[in-house]
Amino acid sequence: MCIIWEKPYKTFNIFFYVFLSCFIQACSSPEGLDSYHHIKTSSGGDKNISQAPEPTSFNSGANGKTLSEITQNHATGGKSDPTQRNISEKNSPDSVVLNGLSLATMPKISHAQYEFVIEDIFGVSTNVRSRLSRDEKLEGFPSLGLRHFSLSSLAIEKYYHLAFEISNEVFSSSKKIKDLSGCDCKASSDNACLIRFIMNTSEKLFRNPQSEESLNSVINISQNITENLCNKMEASLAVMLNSPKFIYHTAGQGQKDESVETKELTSFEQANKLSFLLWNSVPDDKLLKLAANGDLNRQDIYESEVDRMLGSPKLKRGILQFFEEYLDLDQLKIETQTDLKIKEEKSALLTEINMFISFLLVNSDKNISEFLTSKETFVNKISAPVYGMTSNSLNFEKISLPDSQQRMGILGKAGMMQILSHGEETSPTQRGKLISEQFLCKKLPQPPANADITLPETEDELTKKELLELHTTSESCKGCHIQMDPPGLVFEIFDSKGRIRSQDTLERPIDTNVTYDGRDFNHANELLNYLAQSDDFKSCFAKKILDYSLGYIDDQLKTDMNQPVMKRWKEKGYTLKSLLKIIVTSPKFKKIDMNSL
Amino acid sequence: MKNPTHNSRRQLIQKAAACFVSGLYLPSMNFMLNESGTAFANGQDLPGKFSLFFWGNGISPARWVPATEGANWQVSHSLKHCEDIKHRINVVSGLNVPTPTSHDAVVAMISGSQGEGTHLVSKHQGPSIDQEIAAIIGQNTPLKSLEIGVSDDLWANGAFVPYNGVSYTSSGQYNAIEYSPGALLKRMFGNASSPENPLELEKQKQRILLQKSLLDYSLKEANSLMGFLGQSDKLRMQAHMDGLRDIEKKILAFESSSGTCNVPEEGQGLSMTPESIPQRADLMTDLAVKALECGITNVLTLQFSPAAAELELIIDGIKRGPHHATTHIPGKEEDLALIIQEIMRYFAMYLKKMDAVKIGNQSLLDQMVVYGTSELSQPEIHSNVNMPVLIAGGGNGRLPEQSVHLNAKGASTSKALMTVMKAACGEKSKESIGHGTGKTSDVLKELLPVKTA
Repeated sequence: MCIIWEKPYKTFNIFFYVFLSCFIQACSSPEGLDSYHHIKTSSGGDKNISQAPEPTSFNSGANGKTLSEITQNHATGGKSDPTQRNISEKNSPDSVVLNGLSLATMPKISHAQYEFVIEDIFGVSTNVRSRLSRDEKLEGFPSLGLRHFSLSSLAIEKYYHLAFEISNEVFSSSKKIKDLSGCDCKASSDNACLIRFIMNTSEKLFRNPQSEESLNSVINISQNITENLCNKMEASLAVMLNSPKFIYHTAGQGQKDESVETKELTSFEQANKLSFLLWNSVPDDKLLKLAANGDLNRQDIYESEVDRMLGSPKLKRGILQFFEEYLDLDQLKIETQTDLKIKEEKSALLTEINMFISFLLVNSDKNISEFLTSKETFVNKISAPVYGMTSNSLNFEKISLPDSQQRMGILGKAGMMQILSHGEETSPTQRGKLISEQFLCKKLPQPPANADITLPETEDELTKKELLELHTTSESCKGCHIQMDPPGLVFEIFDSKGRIRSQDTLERPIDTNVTYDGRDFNHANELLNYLAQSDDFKSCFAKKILDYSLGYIDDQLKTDMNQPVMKRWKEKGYTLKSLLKIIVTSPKFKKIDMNSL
Repeated sequence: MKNPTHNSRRQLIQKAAACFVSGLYLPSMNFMLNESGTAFANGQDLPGKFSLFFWGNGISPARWVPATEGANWQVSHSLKHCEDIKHRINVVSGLNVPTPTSHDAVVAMISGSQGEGTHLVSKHQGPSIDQEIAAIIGQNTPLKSLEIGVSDDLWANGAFVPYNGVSYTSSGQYNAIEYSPGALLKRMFGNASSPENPLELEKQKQRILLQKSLLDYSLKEANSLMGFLGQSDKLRMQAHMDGLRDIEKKILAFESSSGTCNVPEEGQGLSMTPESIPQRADLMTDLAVKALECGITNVLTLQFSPAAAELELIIDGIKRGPHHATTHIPGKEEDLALIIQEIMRYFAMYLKKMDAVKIGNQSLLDQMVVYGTSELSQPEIHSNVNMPVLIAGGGNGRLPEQSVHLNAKGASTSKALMTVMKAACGEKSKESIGHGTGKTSDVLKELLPVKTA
């Protein structure tokens, strides 16, 4: 009897149960949601309410269930839950078995993810990064740091203040509040709108259906605000943004059971893992719906969702996040630079790199070798002069770099050469270190303490090559520098700003003849062509993506060419999208290692 | 024409002072102390106050170490600007870091914990010295400890955590550093205004109610997750809950205050540039002194620049640096020497401000133990011998009245850590510090009177 919907209810709980029982009745009726809409409208209630989307968990065929049953099933992982179905036997016959498992850890949401989540749910762009303490990196990777470091008191205080600020910004400019609550909060005082807003929003923010108790708490806190409905909703959003369930990814955890070595992820957990890896944000409504009704457990549906996600424009977010960490691109984001010209140039060079990656590996789905060899790039009025060109527009234009520029691939980008320099000085060691560590996965130890760096007496100032060759005369330096200096020296044809040059700062010719990995190279492009063709680069790149996907650096993880993942990737043409698909459709992607608890 | 920046600085500090006067926090007052001001009237040890002053990229030992040892030490080239305050600074030379690798020195130097690092990720045991001390003397202040910084020019864009901040509770919990003077002021004193308008007052009550409920909810949610977490994540969640409780503690403190603190907008607008360093250093040291004076905290880390910082300073009108890069460029020794001298000028400025604050017969500096250090000695060679160590202040009478230059002749830097802990915490000090080869219970006896040594 949904007519009672209109009656004033003095306590929230009664109201809540009535609201839910009406809704569940509607869902379980032959007309389903349509009948709910009809009843609501015909009962004379707020028509807008009936148009609001319902939380996904309540769309999931919850016939005859009580609120407690629904919420408990999701919150506690009850075995009767369709989202918990064991999927290990249902994988596609050509799924590749990876040799690594994700850990049962609790990563913190990153600053970028915070921004994307707010944008995806409320359509509001925010700047979170500058208002929170930095996310610390582990082994150079912020995403690894998110799993390892605790937040300090100051960091938590900043999250606390930010929640209020973001809530205020959302309620000042979002056009989606009406969609989420079903009414205009400025014109209505109906508590049903508040409840609907909290239910819809919490499910998205917390990435999981919430327990009744948890929802009740948020609703009760918000109702204590005596101001208007918008204020109540705004307060509820601040409360949710402060919850550890928003700040941390807690899905995938579970009670420690000594007898269980691995745990299958629920369909909600799969949806989250997929979405945060590929889109760097929350699952969208379609993915959540498939998770809620358990369909995501069907391998055909799962794979078709993966294809949909790999084809989405949001894929760029996930891929660019990986490359930002892989190449340390945030060094080009200099907020504090006072020289506007430098700031603009760095920003343009970062945009160029992001556009290059997006074009090559997302839009064109090219072989990963071209990441090192492609001559295509993007320039505008600001960045063109670095490449000896001119442009009249601030818009970026795709070009193919002329041979005179002698540059190709990602290391041909001026921005990369700037990152790998020490201020005004080039750093062949930094440039070579990137090649050894990030492109070839070589592990370099710490520099020794108290190393002898006495320079030989000479009349002339040594060239950079001569200076670096001194490393090979010291046993304590030689081991590492022989792996860094030679591959870096071939890039001496680019100055610290990334501009092509033929002479060093003292106008001496630059000698780029080096021996590396038992071969002679006399130009950066020779080295890049060699790397692009090598299996070592491809297997290293696959390892980097795997580490990133699993969330930790696994020194035991093998990606040599005999591994199934590499064989399959070769068949698929070594494209990044195909590698991601191999990883996320592997049965092991949907499990976690409970021994890590 | 008025200098707006100068005005804002004054305004900011005056506001801070106003909060203090409002009685929000109280220092130990004169009548509570014995005649010399070194203990409570009933003979109990005074709680000490401690500050870590850290700068990145070490020193140039040849220009750092004073030429003479003992009480009549002469300032070296690097310590030139400390002349006026040298009677409160003990210089300790000849200390070596108890770890063989260079990049672990930053950890060993601050915690006495031998790093087990590979590839610049030191996995160390035990907290940094400020947190060791905060666990003893930081429990009864609104903030257990405060971590602030002047320059955030991180090395390698902050890729390696031990280099970014020198205050940590464990290898998994680094204390974020506050670099904004405006944000720091807000954190120290909040917006403790009491509106007279009943409507505004009601709104404020609502806000406080919401804040409290929100924190209760977050704590409850955090607690509900604990049962599902692995051991290391439980510790992380516990740290999160501790952080939420710290906010609760502050809300209670502000709620009961009648101060009139407003954070001036100008204080938040300082950009991170070499040009603004003097202004930021001035503001941050003012606020640091105010936090210690007012009893907002007893333990404060002032990280002038992070380890291996790419700091740039304008000295004699010329931009010098980036600091770390300069250490690896042959022929830049003069620039390096000037940068270190300039950093020491700020160290001296910090001490002089503490000395200017009078509390009864004492100055704040008399109550303080200030530990100044860096992550290495000679940066060009990543040297971890003959490390820079400065121990300043009176330590409530525990440190020598007449400062000295002590040559420790190859002793472990952990001894310096043990010394400052004893000087700051007195009888409550732990018996030892550090782990592995860095562990010690020994102090630098010359710097401590018999009572505590």
